[in-house]
Amino acid sequence: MTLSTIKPTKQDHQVAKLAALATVLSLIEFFLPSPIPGVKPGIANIITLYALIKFNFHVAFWVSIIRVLVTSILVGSFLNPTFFLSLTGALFSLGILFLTKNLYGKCFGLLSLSLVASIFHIIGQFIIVRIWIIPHDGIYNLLPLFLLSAFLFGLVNGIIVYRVLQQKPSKYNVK
Amino acid sequence: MKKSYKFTKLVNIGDIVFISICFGIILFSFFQMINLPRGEYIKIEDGTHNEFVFSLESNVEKKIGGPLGDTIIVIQNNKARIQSSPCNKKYCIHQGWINKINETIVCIPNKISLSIIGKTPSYDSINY
Amino acid sequence: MNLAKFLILIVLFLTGCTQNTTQQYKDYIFGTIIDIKIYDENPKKSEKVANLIFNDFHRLHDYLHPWKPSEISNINDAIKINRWYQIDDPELIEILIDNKELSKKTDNWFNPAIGGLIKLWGFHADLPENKLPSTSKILDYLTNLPTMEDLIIENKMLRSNNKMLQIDLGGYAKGYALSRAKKILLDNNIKNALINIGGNILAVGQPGERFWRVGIQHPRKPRAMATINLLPGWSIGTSGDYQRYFTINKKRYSHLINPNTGFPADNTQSATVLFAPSENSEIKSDVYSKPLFIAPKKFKVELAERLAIKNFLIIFDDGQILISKEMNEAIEWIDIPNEEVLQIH
Repeated sequence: MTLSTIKPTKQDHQVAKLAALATVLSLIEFFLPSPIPGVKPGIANIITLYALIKFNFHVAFWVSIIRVLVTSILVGSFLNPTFFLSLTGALFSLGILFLTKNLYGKCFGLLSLSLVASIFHIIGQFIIVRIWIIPHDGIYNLLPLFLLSAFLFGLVNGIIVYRVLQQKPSKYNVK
Repeated sequence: MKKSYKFTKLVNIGDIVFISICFGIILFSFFQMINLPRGEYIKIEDGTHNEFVFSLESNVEKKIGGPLGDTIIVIQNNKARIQSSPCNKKYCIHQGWINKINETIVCIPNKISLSIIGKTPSYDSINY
Repeated sequence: MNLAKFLILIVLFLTGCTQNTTQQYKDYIFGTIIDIKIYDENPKKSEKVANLIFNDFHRLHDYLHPWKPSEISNINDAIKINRWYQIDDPELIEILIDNKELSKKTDNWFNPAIGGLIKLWGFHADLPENKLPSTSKILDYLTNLPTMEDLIIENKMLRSNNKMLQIDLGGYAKGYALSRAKKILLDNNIKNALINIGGNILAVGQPGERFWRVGIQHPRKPRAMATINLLPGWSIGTSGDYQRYFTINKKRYSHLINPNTGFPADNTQSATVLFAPSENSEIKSDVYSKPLFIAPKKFKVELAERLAIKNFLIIFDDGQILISKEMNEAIEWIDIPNEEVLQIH
């Protein structure tokens, strides 16, 4: 599970490019002020979702994990609570994407996929916060707000991924 | 390398159903939160497990020490907030006033938490 | 894909974080829920001890049950046909003698001999039967009201002068179970625990530096009306008309039947008693709430004094509160049923 085990295949180059892009988005988000702690647009998830739809789950998984690792090292939060928060969020949203990815195209589109990923992202982080960082029931009062922001940003991110994928329809198999 | 992917419409039937359900749940959770009873006391905990409890009816400023320095907490008009904090991001200050039971402000860097608690603390078991 | 492994690791990590210093065990026995909390012990050990307690309760249930086949129902069957019955279990003999003494002490306000009357009111079923017995049947029963005095125990043999006598230890079993649980905890060197048997609670030790804290059920609302600290060894019990009852024409008929009138007591919504640790205090915390609930209002204070119940809290039918001075000092109200509090000095 280390970077060295990845043999540089064509796909790995793709992973690297996308992960780099995702890291940049994460960094932008990190330095942007957020009005309420914990409420963030999660724009790096756009890349994860893009990778999942355009390539496969494998690519999306590594893009997301590398993004978390590299970002945390760059901002100096590696192995901090913050790092575990983003890792858990990423794993939760990857987990639910893994379980639901086959529903894509069957009545469900990008909006649902993005929404479920973003909601599980926040749920994962929330669990960590509740049992580890702030073991206090009071934080349940913040849950509705977090869910609402996950809902809105999930939809927005879904629309963005849709637009990005639409950009060069001629290049891909379009139904 | 190129992998075919299904290109669906932006909004499908399943999306509408799923989005509506999510929105419903979130609305419901907000409604639940608004209905919470108002609290009566404020409990302040610092990183060394010291607990301080004050009545929300008092009008005072409290200085609580943490690893980064002193956090100043203001209690007035049945609500409480963090007025100043030595932490970097000042999230705790931006949370503003709290006054409902279980509402909490936490300053993780300075390891200080305030939470509103009821007149009677919770219990371990119930006699009936 | 190592995703599965990774997710499993994360799950293990998460569960590792939830480790709590209080372990909680639940089981359903005596038709109610048993809840055991054990503070700061090796989880394996506390689970073992909790299971010892649960097993003991299953055993008690099997021989104390008033209407399902049990040792008690065998005794009742023998009494019905005026036979001697041999009891080999010294524990059961002790329990019966204890019940004789308790009913004598309470002037039969606690009367475990009236199983027949309770059955008449339809409470010998998992759900009450929802119908009124005929008044003539009740009057009939009262002319020959059995008490524990009618029960004769000689050596291991038992019989009754009154064929109507039917033992029902429903008002005693939970308290007795608490005293058994206390013994099992002490035998196994568990120092801090809280045991709740269908509302009757015993505190053993305390969780850390604070005390065990219990809520007292509001008789008309789905929440606690007050809370109180249970100091080490203290126990608390409540008799309430909300526990088992049925309503006909908006009138509530509870399972707490006045042996002198033959009708469910209706002057009280709930009676709570609290006992400091002493010989059989857990049993008293169950048994003594019954006389305080059932006896007419004017007798309650005197009865409490005579039974040396220092801590009691009675909510009358109109919500009026009768509370002892000691209890009043210990209790913290959340939702007081009536502003009018009659305090006893």
